[in-house]
Amino acid sequence: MAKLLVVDDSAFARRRLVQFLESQGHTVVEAGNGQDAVTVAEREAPDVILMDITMPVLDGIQATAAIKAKGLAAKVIMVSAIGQKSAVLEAVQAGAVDYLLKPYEEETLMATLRRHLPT
Amino acid sequence: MLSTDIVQAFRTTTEYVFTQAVQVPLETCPSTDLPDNAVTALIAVTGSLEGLVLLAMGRATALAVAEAMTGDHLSPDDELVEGVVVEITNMVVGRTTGELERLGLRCDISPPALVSGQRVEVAAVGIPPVTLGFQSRLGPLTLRLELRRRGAQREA
Repeated sequence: MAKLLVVDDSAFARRRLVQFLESQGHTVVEAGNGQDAVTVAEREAPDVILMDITMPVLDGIQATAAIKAKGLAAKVIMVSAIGQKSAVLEAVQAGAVDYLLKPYEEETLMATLRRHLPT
Repeated sequence: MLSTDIVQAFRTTTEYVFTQAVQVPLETCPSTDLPDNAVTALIAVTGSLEGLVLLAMGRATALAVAEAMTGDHLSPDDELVEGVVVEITNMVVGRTTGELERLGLRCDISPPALVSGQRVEVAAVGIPPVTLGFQSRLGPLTLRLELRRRGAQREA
């Protein structure tokens, strides 16, 4: 099982995602904005980061770029309600490896995660 | 005045998002005023469209929705009751930006804000609202669009 970082300013969204991921046997840490995400990612060295986009302080795109600029190995999967192709492109350019659109089905989340978890 | 295709984008996305996220069907119905003690979330929109989008539901409906999504029994004061309204609003408006992009409209949205209290009135100045009503077996909800095309004249 893997170490995951869940980043979302919505406490509701974080709780649901953390509960589900822990039920799948993963170790999960959290952050409520992009700035904290960078700090937690450096400290906890997660395998994968599930990153929201629209957040206060530092948004998910900027946080992803900052994490990649620090040379951290974590793979970033954007998990967002933003349905614009331009947002997907920005995420990829910032260093995200995948994009999951909310609301998502649990099977889709797990399939996306499996693609990027260490083997 | 917002065009029909923009209003329809918000309407169909609200139905889709709620139905998928809550796993309870949501249908359009005649709109009503926001309930006095509504839980309301607000998102600012900028870009090709500018203004506010508000989504509101009564506290009992919000509690039922939160319990449906978490599978837990919650107290009416649980922060998740307000949190679920915020999250659904975020998903509705976020997803709709994708539909708006297909209409040639590029919009950015703010993080959602929660509006609480009795008889609170929030309105974008000079923008006539479009109010959409929805009904589910968990209760009604209201989506209010206070949006105009960028560069449109402010209405007196």
